[in-house]
Amino acid sequence: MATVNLADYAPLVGQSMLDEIKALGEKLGGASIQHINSTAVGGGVAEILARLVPLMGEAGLKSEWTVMEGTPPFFQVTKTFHNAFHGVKVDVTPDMLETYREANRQNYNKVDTGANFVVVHDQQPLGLTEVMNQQQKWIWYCHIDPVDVDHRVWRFLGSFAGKCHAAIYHLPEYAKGLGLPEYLLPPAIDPLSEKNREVTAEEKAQVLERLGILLDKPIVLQVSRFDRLKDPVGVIQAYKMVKKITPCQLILAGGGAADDPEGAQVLAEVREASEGDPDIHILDLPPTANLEINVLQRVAAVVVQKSLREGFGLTVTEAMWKARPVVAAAVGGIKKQVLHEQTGLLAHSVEGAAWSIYRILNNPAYGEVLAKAGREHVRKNFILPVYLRTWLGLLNAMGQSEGYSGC
Amino acid sequence: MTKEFSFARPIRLVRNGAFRAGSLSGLIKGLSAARPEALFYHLYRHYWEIEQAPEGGYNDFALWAGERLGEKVLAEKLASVQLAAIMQIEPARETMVRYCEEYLGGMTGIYRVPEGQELYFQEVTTVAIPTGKKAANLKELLEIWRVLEPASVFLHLVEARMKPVAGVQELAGWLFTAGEEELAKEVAQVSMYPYPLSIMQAYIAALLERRLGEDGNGKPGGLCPLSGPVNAG
Repeated sequence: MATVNLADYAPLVGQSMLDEIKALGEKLGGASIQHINSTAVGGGVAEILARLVPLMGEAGLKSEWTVMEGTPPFFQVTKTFHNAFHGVKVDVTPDMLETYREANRQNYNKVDTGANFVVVHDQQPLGLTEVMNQQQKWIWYCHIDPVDVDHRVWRFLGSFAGKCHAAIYHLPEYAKGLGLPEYLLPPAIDPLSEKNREVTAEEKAQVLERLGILLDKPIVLQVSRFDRLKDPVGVIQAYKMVKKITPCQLILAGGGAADDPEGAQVLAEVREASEGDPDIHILDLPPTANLEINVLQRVAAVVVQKSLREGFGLTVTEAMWKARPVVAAAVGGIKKQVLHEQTGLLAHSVEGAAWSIYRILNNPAYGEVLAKAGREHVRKNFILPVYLRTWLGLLNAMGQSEGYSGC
Repeated sequence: MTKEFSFARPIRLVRNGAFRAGSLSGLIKGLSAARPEALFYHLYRHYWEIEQAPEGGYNDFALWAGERLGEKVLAEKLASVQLAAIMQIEPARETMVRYCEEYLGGMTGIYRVPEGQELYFQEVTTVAIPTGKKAANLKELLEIWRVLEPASVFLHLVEARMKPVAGVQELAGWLFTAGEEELAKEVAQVSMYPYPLSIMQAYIAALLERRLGEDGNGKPGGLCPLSGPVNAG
């Protein structure tokens, strides 16, 4: 894939925004920033960092991305913590806490102790805060919904998060009241990435042929990893209600992120729920299937995201960017993107989702109105250059508050 | 010689505001104790998010009282706060708290919204970036003002008037310093609600045009009537 530079975004956001990004970067005077997370591929965080880090570098920062290493038991523990963040009742044992601590200890040497800013993404690397030094500014970026986190898990992880100088959440209701500046910064998509760029008719045809998808019926699509919190079975139920009166086909496209051991089990449940219906296509795609996702989103008549919980929902952002009508659950960050009856339709139940899908399939002109407004909403708020600009503003503000030289 | 007017663009950093209201008494508590940055955010955020107030000129407090608490009368009162406290945070706070307390006094019970429907107080911090555009006189000011982005219009016309923003000049203040006292007074009387930013921008341009006498007879340039968005006070 060709290298993307800041200048390539000018047609989307205007030269003035790029000038601001450069000016903000210069104000930071060559400061260094290290991003740390737990997976190099799969999931929204890895996707963002793959694009954000080089652009921060182009803006004048010394920017690096470090992936912490972990054993299968560590990822089993962090998956349990992940579920606990979403209110799932979990057993937390002293052994699990020690597994977490030990994995983080094994990664202490990955922390750049000379970096001006260190950003730990999500809960997996929070234990690294043990090695922060006073010259640094540490930021915890919570990308998931922590409202109903199990109190024992939060008591453990919150002790690490509380050591940071600032926290970032996607929504105000996610703020944990850590007693430090808590910023609100939703994530963004890269409109020029393989997953979101324009595609040619030839690429479209090749991908559809490879995946065995025919365009003989309108496509209802959900893209997400096979995770119960994405409610793939609920999507199948909604589709079946619609299909009784309107011909359509359903595609559930996703995969399991490298740090998600439950993916295979959920995939099996989904296959079972879809048995006997040849119009349901379950595509277990690798994390690198960006062009495939891109094409599927572009050919869909309706893109669904029927999550039970959602940190932000970047798959919704992607579909809106491609000017496709969206039906999504009114949860988490989706509510910031899908403004009901303006930029898409919100649903609160299987029946509500089915009714909204039906409305769009039977009134494509209305779907197009929603889709057009949705794309503009994303362009103004949720694409990478806008995100980068806010990030740089935030780093400037943090530097100023402590008199960081160069700010 | 008057210092040049430097145009800037804002980047708004939103922070958690520490209060969450789930009932009218919770709203009173939040309104009473929230930082000015939070009140500013909830009174004005629509201007930088959608470049105008939402339908009816409602601010966040009014919207929440009407939609979540179901108190339409209180919502109207909270929306009208601009009449009592035009572009001033603390008088707006006092007025809104008074409206809520009076309303609460007439209620027989307290309704609490379901979980997830609370009003989360948020705060905004503005970081300003110079655009590089500068005006040394009214003519240059008008040329740039006409094509200024809405975000910068709000920054120079409203936000900088209500609170100091590092590196940002306030328009009326600059005009006053430049010896344009009458014009400065007119600009300072501009009212926000319920006009979109585009109307505000055109109105200021019309004032500048009139001062410059661009139409040759000293009358307004015709971009919008001068009986537009003006605060009588």
